[in-house]
Amino acid sequence: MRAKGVVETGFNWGFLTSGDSREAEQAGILGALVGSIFTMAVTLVICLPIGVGAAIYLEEFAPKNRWTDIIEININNLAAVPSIVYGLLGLAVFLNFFGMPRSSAVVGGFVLALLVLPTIIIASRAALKAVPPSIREAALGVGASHQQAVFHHTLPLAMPGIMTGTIIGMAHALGETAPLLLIGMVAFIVDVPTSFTSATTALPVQIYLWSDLPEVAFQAKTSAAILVLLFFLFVMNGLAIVLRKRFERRW
Amino acid sequence: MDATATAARPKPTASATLPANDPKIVAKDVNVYYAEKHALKDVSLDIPERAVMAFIGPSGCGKSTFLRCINRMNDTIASCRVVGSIKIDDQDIYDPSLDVVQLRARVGMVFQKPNPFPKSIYENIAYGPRIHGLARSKAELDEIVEQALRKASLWNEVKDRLQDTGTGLSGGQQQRLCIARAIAVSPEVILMDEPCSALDPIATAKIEELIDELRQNFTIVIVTHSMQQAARVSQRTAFFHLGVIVETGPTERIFTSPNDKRTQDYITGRFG
Repeated sequence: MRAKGVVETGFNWGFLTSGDSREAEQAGILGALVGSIFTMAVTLVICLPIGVGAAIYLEEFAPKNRWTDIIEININNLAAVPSIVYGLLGLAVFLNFFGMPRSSAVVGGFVLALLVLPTIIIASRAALKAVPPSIREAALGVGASHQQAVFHHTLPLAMPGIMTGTIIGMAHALGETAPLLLIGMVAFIVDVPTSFTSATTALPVQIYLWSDLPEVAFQAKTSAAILVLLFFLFVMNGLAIVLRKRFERRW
Repeated sequence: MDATATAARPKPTASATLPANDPKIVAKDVNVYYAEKHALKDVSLDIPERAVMAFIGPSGCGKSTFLRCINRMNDTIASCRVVGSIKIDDQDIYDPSLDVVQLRARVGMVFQKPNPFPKSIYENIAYGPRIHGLARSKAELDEIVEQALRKASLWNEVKDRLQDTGTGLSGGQQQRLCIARAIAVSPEVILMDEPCSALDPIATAKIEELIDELRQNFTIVIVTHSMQQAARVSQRTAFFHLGVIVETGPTERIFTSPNDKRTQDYITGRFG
């Protein structure tokens, strides 16, 4: 058949530029990819400021008492809660209580933000703690206030560690499937999402959906989608490693 | 090697001995507790203006603790409690209305281990003046940086590489950079917590020479484990032991005819 020119092998650009379809030969990953990007954007915007803010407060400003001990234990425990539980929480709170749009990138982003917040807080606190106290003392010694010492010296030095932690957290969120299933991002969606509130699916969910279909052609689609997901995960982890290598221990 | 050089130098009488009668810092009945531990017991001491005061004593005797009381660095330790009064120019520095940040600008500090910021040499010096608003223009800031580096006798070594990172300097240069950083905010008092303990003898000699020059303009308090160093650089010495000041007086007298048996035992190396 190849000799007759009926079939040819080549890179299937259509796979990357079209949305999902019932027909395996027309199904593409763009919808899920854009959905994942929207979801990640929401997650990042929410959990970076809150996570880093919480870490700075807990590490540098909070008094050390029973309350902060309880908060610390809870953050550590939250990091170990199964992700599907966050999905249930999102279903109960964001969809049922607040009535936010189902299977949208906003809700997906919120849920994943809750999921990775503990990771980011823990990583950021570790990064802040790793800045040697002598730098703080030096800043205080020239008459910097506590806030100035933190924001001019400790935080910039901890930034590579915070960034690494954030990227690892985001990579974790990108691969997360279970919570998204519970908030309805599992629907069959043909259109490429255009806004944060439109019906969306995400890469891992798309993989899950395709892997379930009986048509043989979808096996190849599933594998291809997995490769796309893995590509993004490798890029993100690689970025984290580069950041860490580049900036580690500057004192 | 520096001992002979310092001893041979004629005493700058006008600047050192005259105002030495004028106490800059007056501490009265200072007690410091770390949680349960009573670290300093009823310490009272006058520190003369524009002179070098050395604190000597065995490890854990409270000399560093007392030093860190003078710029309230102990505030950063949660379990630490200070009772008593320390006055600088008749102003109680533990007065609740006093601004600690202003105090630390007036009382600079040089630490045991050189701790330059991991930034450029220029930024290391410029940081203090900038946060205190001491310079109105870039040119003024450049001038402050140059003057501070000159006073710390580091200018000639670094003037061509001010943008290089401060942590790339040698240990002795780093410590002089830290001294320059302290000088840049024009403090009245400079506290030095074993500034030479991490340095080799040549770097130490340079720092000691520098301390001797700086006492023309600053009141210096130095904690040291080296009795030779105390003898070389200071005009007055206080001997701490187990949280109390055993003896204080002119350095020469402390080292030649100490009144207390414990002082004598310590300086002759029988303990500590």
